[in-house]
Amino acid sequence: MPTDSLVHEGREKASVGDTAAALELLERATDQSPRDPDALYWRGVVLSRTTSLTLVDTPRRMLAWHLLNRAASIDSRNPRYLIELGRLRLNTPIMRVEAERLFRRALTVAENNGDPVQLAEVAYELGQIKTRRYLTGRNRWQYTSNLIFDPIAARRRVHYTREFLEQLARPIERAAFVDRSEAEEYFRRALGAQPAHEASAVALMSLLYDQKRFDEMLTIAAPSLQQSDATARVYLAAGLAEYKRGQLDEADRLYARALAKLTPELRADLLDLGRILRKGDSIRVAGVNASERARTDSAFWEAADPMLSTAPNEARLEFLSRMAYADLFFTDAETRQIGWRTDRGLILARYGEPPVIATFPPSTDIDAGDAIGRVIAVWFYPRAEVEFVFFGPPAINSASFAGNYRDFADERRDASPFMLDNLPFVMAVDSLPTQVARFRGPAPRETEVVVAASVNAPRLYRSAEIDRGALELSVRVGPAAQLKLVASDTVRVLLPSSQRVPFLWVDTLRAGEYRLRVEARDPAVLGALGRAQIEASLPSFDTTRLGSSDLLIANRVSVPSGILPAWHAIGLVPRGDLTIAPRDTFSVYWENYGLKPGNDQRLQFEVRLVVTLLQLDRGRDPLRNLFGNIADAVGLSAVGDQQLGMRFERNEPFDNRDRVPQLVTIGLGSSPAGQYRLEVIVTDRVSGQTSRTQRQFTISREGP
Amino acid sequence: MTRLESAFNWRLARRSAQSLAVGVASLAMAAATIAEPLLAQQRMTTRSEQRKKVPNKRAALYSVLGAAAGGAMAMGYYFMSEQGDRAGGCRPFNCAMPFLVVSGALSGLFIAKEVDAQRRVDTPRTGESFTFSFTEAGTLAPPIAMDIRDSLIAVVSDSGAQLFSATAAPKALRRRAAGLSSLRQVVILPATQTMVLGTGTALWEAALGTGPATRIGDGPIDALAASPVGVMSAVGQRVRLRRGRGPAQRVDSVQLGGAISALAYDETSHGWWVALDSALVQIVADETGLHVGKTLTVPSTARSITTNGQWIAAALGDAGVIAWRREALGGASPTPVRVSQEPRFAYDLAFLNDDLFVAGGVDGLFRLSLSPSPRVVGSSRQFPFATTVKTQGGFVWVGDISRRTIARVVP
Repeated sequence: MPTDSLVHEGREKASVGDTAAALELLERATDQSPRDPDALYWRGVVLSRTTSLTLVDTPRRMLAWHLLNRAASIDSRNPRYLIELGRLRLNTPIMRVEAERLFRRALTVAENNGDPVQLAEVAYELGQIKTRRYLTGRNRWQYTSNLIFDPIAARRRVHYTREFLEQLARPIERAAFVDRSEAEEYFRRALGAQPAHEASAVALMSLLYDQKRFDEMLTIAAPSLQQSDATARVYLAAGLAEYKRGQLDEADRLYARALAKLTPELRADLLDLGRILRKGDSIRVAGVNASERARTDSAFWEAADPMLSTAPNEARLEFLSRMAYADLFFTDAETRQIGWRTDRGLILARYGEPPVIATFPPSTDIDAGDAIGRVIAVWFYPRAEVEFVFFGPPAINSASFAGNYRDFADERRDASPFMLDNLPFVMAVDSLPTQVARFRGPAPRETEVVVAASVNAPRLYRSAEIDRGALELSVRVGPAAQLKLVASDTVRVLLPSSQRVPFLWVDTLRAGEYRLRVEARDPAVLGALGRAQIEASLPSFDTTRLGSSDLLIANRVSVPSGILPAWHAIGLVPRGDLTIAPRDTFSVYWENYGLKPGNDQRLQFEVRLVVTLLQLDRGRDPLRNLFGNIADAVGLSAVGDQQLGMRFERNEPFDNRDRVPQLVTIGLGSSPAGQYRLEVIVTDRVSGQTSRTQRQFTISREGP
Repeated sequence: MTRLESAFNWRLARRSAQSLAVGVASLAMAAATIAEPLLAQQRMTTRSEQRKKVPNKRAALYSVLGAAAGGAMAMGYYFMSEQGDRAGGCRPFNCAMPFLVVSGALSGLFIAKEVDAQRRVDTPRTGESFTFSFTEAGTLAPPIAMDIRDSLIAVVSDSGAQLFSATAAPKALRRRAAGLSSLRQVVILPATQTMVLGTGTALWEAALGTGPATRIGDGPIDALAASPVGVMSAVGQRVRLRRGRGPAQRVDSVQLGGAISALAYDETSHGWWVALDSALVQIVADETGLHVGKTLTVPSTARSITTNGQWIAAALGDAGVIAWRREALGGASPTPVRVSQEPRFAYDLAFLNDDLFVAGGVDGLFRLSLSPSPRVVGSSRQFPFATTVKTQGGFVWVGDISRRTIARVVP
C-alpha cells in the first residue's frame, strides 16, 4: 500500500478513536518512507495526542518528539511540526517552559509561510501559554508578614479569612497585567489571521471579561457566531457578555442557542439542578425520569424567578451565567477539563462570582503541608463571611478544594445550596402581604378564590425622587411550572404617598393544587418590587359534612339584617396586609357548608371565635425582648393564652341554601401589638358536627 | 560560641548577604528604569515588531549593573565579616564574589526583561504617549453618561444622577432624581434650569435644584440630545423633539428605518444627527415638524456622534472613528475619513478645536487629528477605562468607569 494511503487510513482510524490501529498503520508508513514528513507528522501527532502530563508517558512522548523533530528538519518551511512539538512539550513534565520557545519558532515560520490557519493556531497556543500565566498571577496578593494563609485555621477560627486579608496580606496592583496584555495580543493576531478562530475568540473574551470589556467581547464573538459550526462555548461567552451589559433578553436567546448546541449529555449536565440543591433533594431529583425531571426543573426555576412579570427568569439567567463563567475560565482543552464540572465551577454555581479572590504564591515552607508548591486561591464571600480555598499547580488552569473544604462545601450546601445575594435586583424584591381565601364555587368541584394584596407604596417608593409612579400589578395562577397571567393592572401613584395600594382578584377554579403569584413593580424605579407566592390546595367541598370556608378579614362594614348574602354583595373590602392598628376594628366573613336544617327547616348552630396571642411585639429593644422571651417561656406573659373573643347561637331559615355566610365585627380593644390567631369554631346543633377554620393577623403599633 | 552556632550564624550571614545583593541589584534597575523616558511610536506596530526592538543594550546594562551590585556586596561581606567566621566556609573571592556576581547579573537580566515587557504593554501602540494634567471627582458608581453646560456637569450611573461643579477642582454638588432605574442618558437644559434623564423605561425631567422628577415621555430611551431650544429623544426607531414648556410645549416625531443608537445636535447647521444601524441621518426641525435630510453610510453602528465647524464624526466601537468634512456633504456620496486601528474600541468622542478626543476604553484617552490626513496624535493611559468624553471651555472631561471618576483634563 502506498505511504499516502497508509497515512490516510491511519488518520481515518484515529478520527474514529481507534488509535491502536492508527498507530500501526502510521508506523508502517514511516517504516516504508522514513523521510516522508507527512507520515512522520501524523504518527507523531497521534502519539503526542494520546499522552498526558505524567511521567508514565515519557517513552511515547520521546518517540513523538523524535518523529516530529525529524519531520521539522525535512520540511522546515511548515510550522505544523513545531506547533505539535510545542503541544508535546506542554504535556511533558518539567519541559513545559520549552513549549513557548517552540511556538515562537513556529510563529516565525508561519509568518513567513503566510498560512492564516497555521498562524492562527500558533498564535492561539502562545496566547494560551500567556493566559495560563495570567490566570495564575491575577488576583495575586502578597503576604505582609511571615505568616502564610492557613486553610485549616480559616475553617477553625471565625473571621480568620477576613482578618488575614485585611491585616496580613494586600493585593498586588496590576498583577500579571503583562501576561494578560501579551495573551490579548496573541489572540488578536490569531483572529487577525482567521477572524472566526473560535478558540482564540473565546480565550480573548475571557481576558476582556476580566476587565469588564463586555462590549468588546461581543464584537470579538460576532464572526464566530456567524459560523454555522460555532460551538456552545462562544454562545455561552457571548451570552455572558450580554448578561453583564444588562441585555437580559439577548443573553437568554444566546444561552438558549448555546444549550441547543450541546450534546444531550452535556446539556443535561450543565442544567443539572443537583449541584444547587441540598444533598437529599439532589438524590431525589436524580432518581426521577426525564419528563418528571423536566417538570421539576421548570417548577424550580419558576419558583426561583424573583419576578415573573419581567420576561427573562433572572434566577435562571444568573445560573446560566455562572455556568458560562465557569466554562469561560475553567474549561481547559489541554487537560480535557470542563469548567462547570470543576470544584471552582461547583462553588460558582451555588454562590456566584466571589466578591474577593486572593491568590497566594506557592509556599516553600515545609510546614505548609499540601500547599507546598501550589498556588492558594481564596474565594471569600464577605456577606456570608464564608470562604472556599483551592490549591492548584502554577501555570496550569486547574485547582481543587484545599484541605477539608470539600466537606465544608457539603455542609454549606445543606444550609444554603443556592444563593442569589449577588443580584441587587433579587435582594430588592419585597414581600407582598397577601390574603387568600377559598370559598365553595358554583359547581361541586369548583372553588372561588379571593386574592387580596396590599402594596406598601410608601415603602416601595421610599427612595424615589419622582412625582408619580406607575405601579404594575399582576396575578399568575396555575399548577407549578405552568403559571399563567390571569390579571394585571397599572395603578398611578401620586408621590409622596402614604397610602397602601389595594389589589383584589377573584376567580373560580377547579379543585387541585395551585401556585399563586402576586407581583407589584414599577419598572422605572429602582427596587420598587414586591411579590407573594402562595401554594394553595383548592379542595372539593364536601356537601355531606359540615365545613367552613377560609376566614376573610376585611375592612369593617356594618352587618346587614336578615339573611346574609355572599361577601361581594355586602360591599366587603378584603384586606391584603392582615395588619390592623391597636383599637381598630375589622370584619370577618366566612361561609359554612353542610349545615343540616331541623324539622322546622331552620338552621341552628353555635359560633365560637377564639383569639390567641402567638407572639408579642416588644419592639427592637434587645433587653426587653430577652426578658420577654423568658417570661413567655415560663408562662408569665399572655403569649399562648386563648381568649374567647365571642360566642353566639344562630337560628336562621334554611331556604335550600348551599352555603350560609357569616359576618362578625371584631375589636380587640387595648390588646398589645403582636401576632394573633383567630379561630372560628362552628357546631351544628342539628347534626352535632363541628368545623374549624382559622387565620393569623397582626396588630401593629404603626398600623397597616 | 560553639562550632555549631558559628556555622549557623555563617549560613544566616551568607543568606542575608545574597538577599541584600539581589535587593540592591533590583533597586539599581528600578532607578535606571525611572530615569529613561518612554519611547514614542508614530506608527502602528505589532507586538512582535516591538519585541524585536527590545534593546539588548538594556539587558546587558542591567546585567552588568546587577553583577556590579553583587560584586560590591561581596566586597562588603569581605570587609564586614570577621575572618574567623569565614575560615570554615565561603571565602570572598572564590565563593561569595562569583556567586553574588552571577546571581546579581541574572537578576538584572530578568528585571530588564520584565521592565521591557511592562514598557511594551504601557506604551501606546501608535502615536505619542501623553501625560495630561488633570483633576477629578469620584462618582457613586461607574459613570454611564454625562453632560456639561457652563459650570455644571450631570453624570448618570447605576446609583442615580449626580451634579458636579465644572470647575478646576470638580466637586460633587448633589444627587438628583434618586431611585430611577436603568439610567442611560442625561442632558442639561440651562434655559429651564432642568436636566432630562433617559432611562430604560421613560424620559424624565428634574429641576437642577430640588424637587421630584416628572415623567415626560414613555418607553425605553435609546438616545438623547439637547439643543438650546429643545430635547430630542429616541425610542426604538422613532425620534421625538420636544420644544417649549407647559401649554406651549410642542412635540414632533418621525419614524426612521432602523433602531437608533445615538443622537447629536449640530450647532453649526442647527440640525440633528441620528445614528441608525448603518447610517447617520440628518434631521431638520422647522415649524412644520421634523424632516429627514442627508444620509451618511457607516460601516458599523455608531455609539456616539459629535460635530464641530468642519467635521461630523462618529465613534463606531470596534470599527474605530469615522468623520466627514462638512463641505463634502453637498456631494452625492461624501467620502469619509477613518481611523480604524486605534483605539481598538471607540466609545465616545468630542471635538476640542480641531482635535478629536476619543474615549478608547482600556486604551485610554486618544487625541486624533483629522486633517490634513486622519491620524492618532497620541493617547494617555492615565484613565484606565475611559468610556465618556466631553469638551468645554478648552478642557476635556473624561468619565472613567474603572476609577469611577470624572476627570477634567488639560489637553
